[in-house]
Amino acid sequence: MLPLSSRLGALVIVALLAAGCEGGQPLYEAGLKDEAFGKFAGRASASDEAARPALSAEEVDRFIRLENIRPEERPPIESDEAGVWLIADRAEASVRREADRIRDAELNSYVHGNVCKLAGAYCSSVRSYVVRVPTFNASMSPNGMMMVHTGLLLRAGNEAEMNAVLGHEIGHFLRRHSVQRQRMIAQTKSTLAWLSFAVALVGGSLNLMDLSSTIGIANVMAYERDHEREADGYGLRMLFDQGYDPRAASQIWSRLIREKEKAGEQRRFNPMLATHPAPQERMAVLGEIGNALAPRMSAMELGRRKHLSMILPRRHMWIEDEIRLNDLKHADALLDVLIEDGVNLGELYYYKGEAYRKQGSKEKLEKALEFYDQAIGRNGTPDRLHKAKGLVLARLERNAEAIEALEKYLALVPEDPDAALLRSQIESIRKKVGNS
Amino acid sequence: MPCPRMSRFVLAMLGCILLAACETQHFLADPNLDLSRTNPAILVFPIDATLAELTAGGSLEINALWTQQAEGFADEALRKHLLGLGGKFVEIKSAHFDEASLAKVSHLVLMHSTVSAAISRHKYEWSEALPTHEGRFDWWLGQSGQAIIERTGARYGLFISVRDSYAGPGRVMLIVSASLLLGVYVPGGRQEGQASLVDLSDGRVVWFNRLSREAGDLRTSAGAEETVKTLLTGFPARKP
Repeated sequence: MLPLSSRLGALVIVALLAAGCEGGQPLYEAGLKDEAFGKFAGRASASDEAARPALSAEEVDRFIRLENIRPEERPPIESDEAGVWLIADRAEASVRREADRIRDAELNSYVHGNVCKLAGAYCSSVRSYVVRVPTFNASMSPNGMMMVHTGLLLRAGNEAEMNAVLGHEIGHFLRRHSVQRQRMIAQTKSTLAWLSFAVALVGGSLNLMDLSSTIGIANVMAYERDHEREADGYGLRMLFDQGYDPRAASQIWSRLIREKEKAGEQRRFNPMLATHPAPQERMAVLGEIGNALAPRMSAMELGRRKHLSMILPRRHMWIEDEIRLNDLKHADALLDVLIEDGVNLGELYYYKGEAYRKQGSKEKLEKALEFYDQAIGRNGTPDRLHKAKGLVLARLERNAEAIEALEKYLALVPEDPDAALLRSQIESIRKKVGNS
Repeated sequence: MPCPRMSRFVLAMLGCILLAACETQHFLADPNLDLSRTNPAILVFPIDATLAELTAGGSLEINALWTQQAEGFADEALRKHLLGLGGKFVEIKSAHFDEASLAKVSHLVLMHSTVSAAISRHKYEWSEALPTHEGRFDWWLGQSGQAIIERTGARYGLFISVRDSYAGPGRVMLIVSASLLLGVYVPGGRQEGQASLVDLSDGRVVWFNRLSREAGDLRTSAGAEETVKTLLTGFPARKP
């Protein structure tokens, strides 16, 4: 038990540190009000009665105040920011050699074309790399290196949804969030160090320090979540400026939430540890602002056709990466959400079958067969479905059907490298049937 | 608690004193290795240096200017030192390499950074020692060195990396205040360096040295010379 004076001291510290609590919804609108970023502000906020009063710089940057980075600006070499860039430059050099980096020129130029469109004057400052990683994510380095995961491209239903995320990442870059974060953490840690010195000087308890460093960490996390909100707002702003449906930002979150719910992956939001605001908050706030912006646009697009023309020929690889994670609930949920989207259902049901086939139990194999049958006759069904189906039927000892499926496959794809193996398997099934 | 706070403190202090006494300790894969007999060409990879300022709270803020200058000082110091040893040294120039062999170089550099981190951890931290490596020093980077031999004619590769930190004004104030008013020791900057010599023909790390100390300064050319010299203590090449 702490002595009374220490507890009082702890309360004072709690009060002081918690004063820097989160900025909440208004931060999402910071990007919409940012005149430094370009043409938007003059076009919309001045004439908009519904617009909330613009945020002052103090409200946006409660700890570290920084101007937006300028196009093609590099921080001066003696600055702390140059150090942050140095590490990012080194990381970029290794990303260039990364085995997981996708070197498909067409796909990279599609993504980078969108980055450029959104970034405007910052186009030449931002370099995007598509990397083969099965998670819904993209990341931004302080030096302008953007990494776009294939898991994001797979889940975005259209260009507008993808661009909501790309714009968010550009927002991190131009608001210089990395260096802000480094300064914030250094300041918090230094404050805590001096605080612990002061506490030790008056013979105070070390428990007090544990408490205040916990609050310090929570405070840094709250600060990071504010950056996410601000970046979300910039993403929205860029959608609006480029004539994309601003409601797409909310929609991609709604997709992700549906996927997490189906997979049973919904975790409780932890204000001490969460680096990002809860997806529900982002969906709701971005939806609200997007709905308010949409009526002000004379024309807007989703860019679905273009997006699908890039994604559909490639997504089989990315779906396979997700299935390879060997988490059936995860794959099942992802595929269900893609099925709701309704394109090339034959391919998606085939992969549902594959996710179940990988599990191997009799029950799962039977389920796999159901999905294969749902796939047949729909768009995008791959020929190799018949091979998978034949192998499952053989495992289930439904011999006649297995032979039929495998023969059908060999008729469709006679040049399969496994053709000889499959033929010998057909023979051995025949023998087994003949012997019994 | 098996060991009361005071005696743990004494143990830690003793440990510090022992460590300070022998700030480098090197390993040789083959105790008889002496390059001065065959005098093979050694390829020197660019020094990987990172210099940072230690803030009052213990954050490390990378300093790009110091880092850039330190790379220059350390390269110069290394060249001088190696010339003094009288060996044949080849500097890496990207002109030697086409795209495919450059990828092999990158691969070797990446592999080296992982393996040298493992050596540093398992050969120097007694609590992390691997039973299977007891009394042995055998670490390998694989075959990607072959392409480098073909391009440069060098048989060995020398890798050097240094992480250097310096107490900033805030940290210095904290160190002084804590020692004067509380009698408490607050650590300042550190220098952590690694040097390894790799046989490019089979990827074996034939010599390795580590530096870990609260001294050294790569921000000056004299400091860089001292660091390079200390880091290359025991280097198995011709003596001056």
